[in-house]
Amino acid sequence: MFNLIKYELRKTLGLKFIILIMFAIFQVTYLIGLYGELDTPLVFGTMGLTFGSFVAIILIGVYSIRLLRKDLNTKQSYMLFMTPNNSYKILGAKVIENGISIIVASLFVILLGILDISLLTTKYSEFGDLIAFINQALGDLQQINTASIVSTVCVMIAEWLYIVGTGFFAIVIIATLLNGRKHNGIAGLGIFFLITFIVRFVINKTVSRSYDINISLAHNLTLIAIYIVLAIVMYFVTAWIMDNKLSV
Amino acid sequence: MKLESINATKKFVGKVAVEDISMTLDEGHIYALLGPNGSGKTTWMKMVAGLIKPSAGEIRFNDKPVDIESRKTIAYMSTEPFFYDWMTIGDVGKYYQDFFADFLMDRYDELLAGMELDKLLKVRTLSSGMMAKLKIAVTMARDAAVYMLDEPLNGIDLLARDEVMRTILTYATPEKIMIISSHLVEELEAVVDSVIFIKDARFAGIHEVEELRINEGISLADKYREVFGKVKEA
Amino acid sequence: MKYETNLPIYLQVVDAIKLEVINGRIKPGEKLPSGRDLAVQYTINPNTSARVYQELEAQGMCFTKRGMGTFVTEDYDRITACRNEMAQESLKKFLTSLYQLGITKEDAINMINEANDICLL
Repeated sequence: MFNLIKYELRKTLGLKFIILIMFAIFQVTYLIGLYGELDTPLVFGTMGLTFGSFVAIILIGVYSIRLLRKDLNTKQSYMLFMTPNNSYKILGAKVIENGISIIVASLFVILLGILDISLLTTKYSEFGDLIAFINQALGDLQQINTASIVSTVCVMIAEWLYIVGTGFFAIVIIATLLNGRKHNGIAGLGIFFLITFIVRFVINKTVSRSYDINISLAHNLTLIAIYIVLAIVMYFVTAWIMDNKLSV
Repeated sequence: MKLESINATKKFVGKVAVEDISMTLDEGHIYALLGPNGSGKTTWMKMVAGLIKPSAGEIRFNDKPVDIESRKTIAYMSTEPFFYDWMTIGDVGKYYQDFFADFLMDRYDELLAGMELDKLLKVRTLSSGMMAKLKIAVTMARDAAVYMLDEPLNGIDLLARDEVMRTILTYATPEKIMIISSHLVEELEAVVDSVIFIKDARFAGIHEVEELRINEGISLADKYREVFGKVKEA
Repeated sequence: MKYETNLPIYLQVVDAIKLEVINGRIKPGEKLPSGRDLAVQYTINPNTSARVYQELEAQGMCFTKRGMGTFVTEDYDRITACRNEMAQESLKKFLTSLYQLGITKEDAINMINEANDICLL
């Protein structure tokens, strides 16, 4: 298992390197803007870092789905499937690698965000006062607390893990049914959107799905639980299909 | 030790790749799996390797259906290169060492030295002859019970062929089953002792090469023409 | 080595080894390669090479010392006899093909006398 995870990490190394370079460029731009007191780099840096945070986490997930597709539909599939590892392990290594990567990346962007905001507030003390003022004003109105922010971020991460799991499922189902024939990408996307649409519809009708900051902690925990359960179900169903039905 | 194919069948959408193949292979033999391109040789091998699940029938190794466990002792080498692009020849060996308990790094090093392959070379820069040698080296460096080599002589020059043959013969010890597929009959004639013909996805006979010569006075190539050719040659 | 298509491979290798012994490339009493090495050397199946040694032993051209390997016979008479046997075989083949060409034995002898000497080595 350790070996499988090791090679999954190795396969995604290139992407992570690119993401780090992207962050490094925006961070330098931001710092130049901040300490050189130049508006344009500051704005570009801030936008790049904010936008890049979302892009990075989405990319890691999408890349992992793409990797699975490659690992099933090209000759490289032998590398995984000739080894004496069952599909629960093969897929599990991908899920663990991807889960860890997404969580680490999320922590990374959050910490970088906190660092950059503190740098900004240290440089411009009046900006700190502004944030404090906003916090106070909002706090009076809506009772923002750390727990709800953290739990909302966790909901987003959990939902993303479930979505990547659904992507895995769609790729495996299509590889099993169509056996590497043409248009399997489009068919896979179709299945993927169908499942995510149905799940979203059901969740909206039952627990409701919202990223409101002032949503209750219990509601967020329910959502996290639902997404985690869905992700686990996806994992087991997908691995079962791989073990019993898939030919590479 | 025995490898059985019992009514093994594989149907793909709109095509039957392997139909009702039944046979038993024993240790101590080198089998040639012969048939024209597209006759089902690769699909059958991939079923034995557990990469393809039969639509009907089954493959049994030592009286148990092939599964994840049997991959520990059945080594399969595909025709096409399948290593990850980022790998060097050294990485390929490490990968096998990480996943196969029967992989012998010393033997791998020895084979690479004999084939003049440098561990630092990137696999994506290799010529087809070098790639063929690498695939053989890494597969034969496993101390497996069954070796299945799919078209090991495809697209490589004479010297690389000699090297591949030498390697196969060196490690085809009496307790192994070795299966080599090819559509090049003459190349394998002296090396194999038995031959399995696959024609249009079906089993079309198994023969011992020397018995053909002793009893029928014909070579393997003659027999091949008899089985697959439309007109028997004079 | 290139093999004839209509003769068993093991017999062709047997003949090749006998030839080596007769012309002295392999000395009487010399150790022969192991079955596996022979297989690699002649690019033949290991079962065929086992059969090669069985045949050579049956013909009295070699013997096996348990645990030590296979050795060429030290019996010079046997080697000479083997040479004669092979010569007879060649002669038979030669005469058969001449007969098929409609050439009499006398004509053949004349042809041999007139022919240039062949230098094999």
